Amino acid sequence: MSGLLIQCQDVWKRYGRKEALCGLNLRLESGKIVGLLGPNGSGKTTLIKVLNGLLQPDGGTVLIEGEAPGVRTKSMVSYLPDKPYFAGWMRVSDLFDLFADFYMDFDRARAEQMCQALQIDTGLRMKTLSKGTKEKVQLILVMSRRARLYLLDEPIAGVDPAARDFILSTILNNYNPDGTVLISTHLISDVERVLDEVVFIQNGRVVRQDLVDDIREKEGKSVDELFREVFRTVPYGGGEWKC
Amino acid sequence: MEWKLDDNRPIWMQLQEQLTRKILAGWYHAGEKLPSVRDLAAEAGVNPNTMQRALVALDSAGLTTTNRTMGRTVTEDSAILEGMRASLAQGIIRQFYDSAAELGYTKEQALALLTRRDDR
Amino acid sequence: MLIKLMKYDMKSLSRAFIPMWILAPIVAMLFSFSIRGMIAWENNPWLPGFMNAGNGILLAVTAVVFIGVIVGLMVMTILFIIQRFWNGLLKEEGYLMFTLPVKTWELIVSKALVATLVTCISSVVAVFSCVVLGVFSSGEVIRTFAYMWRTFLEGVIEIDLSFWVHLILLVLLGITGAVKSIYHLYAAMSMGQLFEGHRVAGSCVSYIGISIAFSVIAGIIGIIVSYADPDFLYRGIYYNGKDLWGIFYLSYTLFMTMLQIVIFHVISERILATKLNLE
Repeated sequence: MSGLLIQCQDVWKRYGRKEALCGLNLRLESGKIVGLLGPNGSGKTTLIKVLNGLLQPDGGTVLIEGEAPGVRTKSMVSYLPDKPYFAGWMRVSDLFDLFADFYMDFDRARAEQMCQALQIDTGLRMKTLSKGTKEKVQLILVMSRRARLYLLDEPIAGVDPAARDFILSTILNNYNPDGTVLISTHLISDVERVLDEVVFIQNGRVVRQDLVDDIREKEGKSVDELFREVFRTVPYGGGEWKC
Repeated sequence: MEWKLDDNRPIWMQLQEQLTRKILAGWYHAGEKLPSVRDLAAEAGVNPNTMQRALVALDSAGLTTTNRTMGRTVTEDSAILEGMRASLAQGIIRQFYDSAAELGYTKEQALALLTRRDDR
Repeated sequence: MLIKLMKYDMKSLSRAFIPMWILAPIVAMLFSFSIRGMIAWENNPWLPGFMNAGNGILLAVTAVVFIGVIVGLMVMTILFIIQRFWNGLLKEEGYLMFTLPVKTWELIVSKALVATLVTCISSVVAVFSCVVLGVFSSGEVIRTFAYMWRTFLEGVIEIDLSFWVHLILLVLLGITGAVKSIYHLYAAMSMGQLFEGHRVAGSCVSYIGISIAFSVIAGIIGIIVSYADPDFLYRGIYYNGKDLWGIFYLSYTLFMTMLQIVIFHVISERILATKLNLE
């Protein structure tokens, strides 16, 4: 089950003069559901994009299963971006074809079952689907892979409670138990019970990494409460800062 | 039976307590096979590893046994079940006395209140 | 992997282009019939006058439609090249494409191959439509062309090895020229996406900047050559009594075009592999 999956050492990333990651260190094992928690602008999305190879770090090392992000790591990372990323003219079934073509670990039958359960017609083009349905299709595609690492960027931001329950149960029911799920969010109370472990990120650094139940045991409070305490002291809630 | 989780205590402990109650209340009867970790976790909406930890705690309390062919089943040892039932009842009684003491009742007064309520 | 990548772009292009490719020769044919009608009327003055007016309107309409379709096809092709790269790699779809387990160069080359294919087919369709126009509008046109072609072949050039080499070099030059123009756009867009918040303006400036840079380089090479050997352009290159100057010049241009393609590719690939900036 376990083994080191993600290893980040002294990772730096700048956008122009703005620092997004400031010497970030992180180690994550396989077989876990991990929450990546932090206020807006703390570096959550940047870290996820560095892990999936969309961004190149300016310094430091990033290893996934011992390898730098590249073709091999991309084949075992399943990424859910924070916005829809599909061409409007594509049918749902075209997307299944595309995933089946490029990802060896894509389970098409499972994806089709999930669409059927939700009564999504796979012959429809993406542009004709509602925003909520588009997001569901995207989640179905991402969770139908038997990936080693799932990177889910804000999967429950801006959805209603029913959709949130659907998303969380889809993740729980479909993730590869040998892999790790990294969920970035700032809505902690909603996801707390599905997490093993949480990583608090602030100003581009990991400020705390702990098991959810250890936090509850040691602090006598929920992760959500702890989060509010930790990040209340931040002036301006993390806008610009110096490293 | 609903799963109710509060915010302040470790989730696995709460799961363990609720599973214990389910077993003692006969929701899962003696000798019955429990659902898989994954199914239980999905039902409760919690992480499978957390559910696993709760189930291992049940094993070590002797309420359930795990073997390779059957999976995890509720124990058929009635002594263990009865003992657990009794200790749970003790806990509830202790809590009652503690709460009554907070209101300023002695143990005897509290007991008297309890029996009077029963008579009505 | 390249084929798989191309498959999805082909799907998207086929919906827009196939109707246009079919439409263009049909419209050319309609245009040619209205020309034929006009000629027929002029040769037969006893036909009633209203037919003349009708013919005139028909001629004008079909001419406008024909020119519209041909111009539309060219504009569509250029827009397709830009749009598939910009939307497909540098906007939301880029999140999908750049997280696929493929190399960055494969993404760029697959786009370039599809774009080249579309450009070639659109060009062939445009030329074919003009031929259709010529053939159907009047027998005279085609006879004149055939006569000119024969005279040209007999009088000016003898069909020998050197003729075929010239022809092949010209065709290659046409294709590589198209590829170069496509890659010029790609390099400009790759550079443009680096300009946070001004990506479109950045691309336009980059496009012009690249053009200027390459003309300057070509100018410098020209100056150096003319200083080093002032008679170079007029001297000719003889081998076994034949002048190989044309072949030399075409090969040189071909080489320079291919060099530019390589440079544009390397620029695009390096920028997208190391400095990708998705919005």
